[in-house]
Amino acid sequence: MHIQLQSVTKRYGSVRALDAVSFEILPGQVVAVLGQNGAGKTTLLRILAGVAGTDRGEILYDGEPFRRENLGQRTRLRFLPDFPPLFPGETVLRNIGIVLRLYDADGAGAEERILALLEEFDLLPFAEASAHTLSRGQAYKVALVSLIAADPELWLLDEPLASGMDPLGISAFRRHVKAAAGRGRTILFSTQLLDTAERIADRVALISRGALRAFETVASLRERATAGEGALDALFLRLRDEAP
Amino acid sequence: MTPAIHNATLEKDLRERIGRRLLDLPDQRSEARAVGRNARSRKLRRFLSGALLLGLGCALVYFVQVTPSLQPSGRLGTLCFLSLWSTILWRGVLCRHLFQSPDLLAWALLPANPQVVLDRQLRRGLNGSLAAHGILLGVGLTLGLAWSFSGWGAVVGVVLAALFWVTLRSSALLMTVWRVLAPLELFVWATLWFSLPIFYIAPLRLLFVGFMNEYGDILSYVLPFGWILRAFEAAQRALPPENLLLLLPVFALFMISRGLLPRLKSRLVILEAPLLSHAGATQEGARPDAGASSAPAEGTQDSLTSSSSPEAERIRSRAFLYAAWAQGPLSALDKAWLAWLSPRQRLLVECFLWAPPGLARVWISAAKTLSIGFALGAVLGQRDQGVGRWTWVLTAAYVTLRTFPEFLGPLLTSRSSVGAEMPQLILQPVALRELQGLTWKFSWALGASLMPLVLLYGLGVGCLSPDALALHTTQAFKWVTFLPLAHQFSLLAAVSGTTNDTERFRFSWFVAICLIIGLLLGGLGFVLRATIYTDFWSWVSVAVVWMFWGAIPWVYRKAFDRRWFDCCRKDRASSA
Repeated sequence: MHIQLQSVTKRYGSVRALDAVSFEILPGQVVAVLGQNGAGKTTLLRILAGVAGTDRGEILYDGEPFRRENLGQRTRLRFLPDFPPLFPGETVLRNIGIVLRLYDADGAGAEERILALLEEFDLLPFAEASAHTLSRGQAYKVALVSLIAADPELWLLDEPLASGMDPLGISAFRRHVKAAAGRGRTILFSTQLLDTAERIADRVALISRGALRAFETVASLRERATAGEGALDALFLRLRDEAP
Repeated sequence: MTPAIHNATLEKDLRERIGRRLLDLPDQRSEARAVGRNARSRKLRRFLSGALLLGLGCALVYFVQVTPSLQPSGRLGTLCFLSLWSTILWRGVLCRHLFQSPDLLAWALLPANPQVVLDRQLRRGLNGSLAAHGILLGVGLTLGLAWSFSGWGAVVGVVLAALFWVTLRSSALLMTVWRVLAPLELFVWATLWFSLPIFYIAPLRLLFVGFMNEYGDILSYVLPFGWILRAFEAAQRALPPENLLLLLPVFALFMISRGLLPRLKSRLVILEAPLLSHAGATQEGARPDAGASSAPAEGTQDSLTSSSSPEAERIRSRAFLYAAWAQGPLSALDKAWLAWLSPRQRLLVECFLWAPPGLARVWISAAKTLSIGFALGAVLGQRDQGVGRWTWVLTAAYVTLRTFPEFLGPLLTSRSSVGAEMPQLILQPVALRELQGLTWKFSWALGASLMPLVLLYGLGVGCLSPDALALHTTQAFKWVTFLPLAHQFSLLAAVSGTTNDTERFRFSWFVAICLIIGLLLGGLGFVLRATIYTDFWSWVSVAVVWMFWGAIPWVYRKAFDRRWFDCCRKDRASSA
């Protein structure tokens, strides 16, 4: 999915969460959104998912303005917050089933796909457990399985690497992100972990105090940093503290 | 027909495969067995809980039957009471599933048609409220076995009354949803409004005669609204039975205050997210193309995920009205009128009708205290007029002193806790500052009009001659019950005066003006009656009260109009 943000601005009272943010993401790109706490990362993802609206500016998906009430557009994306809400009274299977039904992804071959994913994320024994009995990491895995099985064009993930998933889950997540990008899916995820972002993402969007400080490939960001260990961290800090 | 929200075949197939695969793993066999066991135990639990509740209903009725001190009227009263209590329970469960369920958070992130969400939550709410149905069924079965022919007749009467009530509410709901024949809606809503006390009070009246004297003390400590039952009990002992009707408005006020409770804090904000987006779009001046942009994607979406703007609008109205249905009379009336508002106006009205503590909490608190104090004054006045008068005066003074700072606070500090009350709003494209400003303005206007009224009325009635006290008790309750109605229409009058959407508001205006005229005429009649039966000072007091009543709509308009809509205009201008 081709995504364009045009001067997107969002305020919460007097706080400017996003300040005229503009960038463009091409299909198949994996973008890591970096920034300190309160920088505006989650707000950006929420706006892209339609959970929050913009005060100004516009978002275009494949050239078409994004409107939350347009269910056709929303079916092309899925947003996982850092605490993804499940249907607590339903089983894991039913939770996944509802998502697949809404994304029209419960056709032929869905059983095999889900079965493989449940096994990969070590969720088979919990398939019939109620969602409210799951730990945070397990709940995130369930949401992730539903996302991967539904396979929408745009994946939006808030802090997936700090979601309580075990190393097995994180490793599976990385594999699926790479595979999805290969299939032309566009993926945005927020994180605080520079090294992980570097390993997974094609591009990095650095946000500080609501403003976009950098939006470039990991390679070019690395070139800007001086050689040596921790150079990327130093560059990150410098960019973050730069005047807008 | 609503499509299934999940694919049952897929799930069944998956369950079987998962069971088989887990069985292949030696250390997972216990989990494999648990997969099947969980499904079976869920069904068993549901069956057992239903049976338990049915048994509870039977036991309750049997207890009433074997208690010799209960007369037939007391038994009927008990039945009515149980029915009423079951209805309240049902309403609460339904409301929780519709507006407070954590499921709504999950739905908010999924591309689901709001109608499907609403229908599913409604169905779950109905399933969840089987407790109430179980009790009712138990009551019916036991009565069928134990009662005589006349007892059966009473049961049928109660059931018919309940059916009539439900039918009326449903009809009003449907009519309002589909926006047909506005005057007819008004008639139906008015019928509902005025018939409400009959349906609630008549059974309670019967209940108190035979039952309350025996078990009132226990019940008053056990039941959530036991304090009001105690007040009724005291009233029944102190007043002749025919004067018990004086307390009708007290109970109506209690029910109203229940309806006003901001129990829907987290409710519609999520379901209404598209509406809020509309509000944002309006703010940006992008509203005209909303209808076009919300058209479903061709060929790829079924009714589960498709949405069109007019349809979505109707669904949202329906969502409000389901809430109304489940909530109670005042919120029902509120939300019926909300159907006429534009999305943005509806949002604003929603926010400061239910969210801000400045209005809701203080208003509810004042209404409850006034109800109790006035009722207490009426009861005590039957034995000693002096005590009754002083109770009224002290109540008025207490309410004034207790609540005025609450109104004054926002005015002095220019702060409001709207954000804290409704964190979801922060996620939405609504200017928080605007809401905060509106909150205290609205509170100030209401407080400014309410406080002198309370003070003067209390003082005026306190100065009445003993003979006129009973008359004024009646009049006071009548007028206090008008307050919520005046509130509704005054609000609409304030809102509608400055909107450009004149067609939509024409009817509201008409009703508001009718009400104001009604208030004026009613006030005049009130004053004339007061001059006949009471002395000069009470005449003065009621005249002042009447003036304040009449002034409320203008206070609203002066307080809100300009600043509110200036605020909206500034938003649009700054967005442009």
